[in-house]
Amino acid sequence: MSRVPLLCAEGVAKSFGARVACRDVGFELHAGEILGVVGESGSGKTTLLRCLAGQLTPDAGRVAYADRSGALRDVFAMSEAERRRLARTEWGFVHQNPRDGLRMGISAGANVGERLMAVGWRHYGAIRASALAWLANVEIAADRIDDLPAGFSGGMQQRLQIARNLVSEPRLVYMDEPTGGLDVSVQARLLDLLRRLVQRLQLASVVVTHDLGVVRMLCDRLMVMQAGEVVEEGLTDQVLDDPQHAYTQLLVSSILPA
Amino acid sequence: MLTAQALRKSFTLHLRGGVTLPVLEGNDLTVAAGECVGLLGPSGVGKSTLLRCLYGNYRPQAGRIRVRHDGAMVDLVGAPPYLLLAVRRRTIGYVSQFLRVIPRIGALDLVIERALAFTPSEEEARIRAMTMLTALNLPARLWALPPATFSGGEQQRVNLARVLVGDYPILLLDEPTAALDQQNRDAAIELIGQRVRSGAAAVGIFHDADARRRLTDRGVELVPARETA
Ligand SMILES: Nc1ncnc2c1ncn2[C@@H]1O[C@H](COP(=O)(O)OP(=O)(O)OP(=O)(O)O)[C@@H](O)[C@H]1O
Ligand SMILES: Nc1ncnc2c1ncn2[C@@H]1O[C@H](COP(=O)(O)OP(=O)(O)OP(=O)(O)O)[C@@H](O)[C@H]1O
Ligand SMILES: [Mg+2]
Ligand SMILES: [Mg+2]
Repeated sequence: MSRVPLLCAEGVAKSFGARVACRDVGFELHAGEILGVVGESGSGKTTLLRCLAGQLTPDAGRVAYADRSGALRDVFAMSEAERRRLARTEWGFVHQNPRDGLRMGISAGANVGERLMAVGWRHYGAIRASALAWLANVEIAADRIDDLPAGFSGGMQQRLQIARNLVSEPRLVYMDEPTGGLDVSVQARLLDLLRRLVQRLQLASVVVTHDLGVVRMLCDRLMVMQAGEVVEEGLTDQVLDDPQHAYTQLLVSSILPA
Repeated sequence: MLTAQALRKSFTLHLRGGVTLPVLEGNDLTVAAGECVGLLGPSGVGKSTLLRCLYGNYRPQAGRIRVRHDGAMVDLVGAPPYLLLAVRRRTIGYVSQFLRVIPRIGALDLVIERALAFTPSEEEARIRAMTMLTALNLPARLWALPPATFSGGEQQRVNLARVLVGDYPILLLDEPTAALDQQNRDAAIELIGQRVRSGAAAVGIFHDADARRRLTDRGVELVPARETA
C-alpha cells in the first residue's frame, strides 16, 4: 500500500547562534497533498520552509525530494547547481511579501516569461502567449502585461507572484503566508484562486499561515509548531476538531467555529 | 467491510485544568456488506464520537479500525495521511449532522466534486450530481448557489447528495434525516435503503424512530464510560 513520497523530511534542525529556530521536524508529503504549518510568531515556520526549499542548510537532519524520475534524492547532498535547477523546474516559492518574489524593475509579462526562459523556453511568441494565459489564470487583465508590478495593488502583485511560480508547472510549491498583508475580501478571492489552481494542477504544497481559515480551505493536513517543535500533526479536520496538545486547543478555541 | 476492536477514546481538556473525559472504553463493532447497524444510547454517550473515529476524524488512543479499501483490509488507526485521504475519497462516505463545506462554491459543484472520485467523466459526474439533487428534491434554483445561506433542511440535502452520489461501500450517517420534513425524509430514507440493498455497509445514528425502523437491521447499545480518577 505504500508509495514513494514526493518530499521526505527527517529530524530537520536549524539554530541561529544559541537560538534554536526549529528542531526535529519530520514528515512525508505525497504528490498532490497540501500541508499547512501553523504556530505562533517565531516558532520556526519560515525557517523550516527555507530549509525544505534548500535555501537554508539545516544543522541536522535530512530533506529528500523525489524528482520526476521518481528517485528520492537528498537535497543537501546534491550540488548547488542541481539544487538551483530543482528550484527552477520542479519547485515554486511564494513569499509573503510579493516584492521578495517578483522582479520589480521588469514588466508583469517579463516576470512570468523569465521563469519560462529559465526552464529553456526560447520562442518569444510562445513565451508571450503563455504569460498572457497565466495573467488570465490569476485574473490580471491582458492590457497590464507591459506594466511594471510596482504600480499593481498588493493583491495583484501577489497574484502575479503566483503566476510567476506556477507558469513553469512545478510539482511542489512552498508558500509563506500567501494571503498575509492583504485585506479580507482580497484574501478570499486569492484563496479561491489558489484552491482552484492547486486542484487543477495537482500541486503539492507546504503552506505557512497563521490563518485557520486558510488552513480549512486549502490544506489536507496540518502541522502545529511551538517554540521550534512540531507539537501536533494530522489531517486538517483531525487537528481542528480533536486538538490534543494544549497549544492547539488554545489556538482552536480562540477562533469562531466555521 | 468494517470492524472496530477495543476502541478507546477520551478527551483531555487542557484549557480546563487538564481534566480527562472518558467516552469510549473498549468498544467493538462489526458491520457486513448490505447491513445497516444503528447506534443506540442516551445523549452524550458517544455515538457521534464513535462514528467520527470510524471516519478517522477523531483519533482513538487505542484499538483497531479495519475497513476493506481497494480490495484489501487496512487499519485506519495510525494510517498515513495519504491512505486515510484515499479511504475517504472512495471507500467511506460520512454524512455529518451538519453540512461543512468550503465557502463560495455552488451546491451542484460541491456534489460534482465528490462524484468525480467515481467516474473520470466530468459529464457523467454532472449528470449523476443533478440526478441526486433532483431525487433529494433540492430546488434547481438553488443549485448554483453556495449552501451557506440555505435552510437547515436544504443544507442537509446537499450533505446527503455529496455522499449518496458516490458508490461508497461504507456509509456513516449521523442523524442524516433529522433536519428534514416528512416528504424529504421519505426520499432520503429510500435512497439510503437502496445503497444498503445494493451492498453498502452502513452505520447510523437515527433518533427518528421511523428512519430507524425502516433502515436498520440491528442496533448496538453504547453504555456510558465509567468516570475514572
Ligand atoms: N537569519 C536569522 N538570524 C538570526 N535569527 C533568526 C534568523 N531567522 C530567524 N531567526 C530566529 O529564529 C526564530 C524562528 O524564526 P522564523 O522566522 O522561522 O519564525 P516564524 O515562525 O516564521 O515567525 P512569524 O510567524 O513571525 O513569521 C526566531 O526566534 C527568529 O528570531
Ligand atoms: N472534540 C471534543 N472535545 C471534547 N469533548 C468532546 C468532543 N467531542 C465529543 N466530546 C464529548 O464526548 C461525549 C460524547 O459526545 P457525542 O457527541 O459522541 O455524544 P452522542 O452520543 O452523539 O450524543 P447525542 O445523542 O446528544 O448526539 C460528550 O460528553 C461530549 O461533550
Ligand atoms: Mg515567518
Ligand atoms: Mg451525536
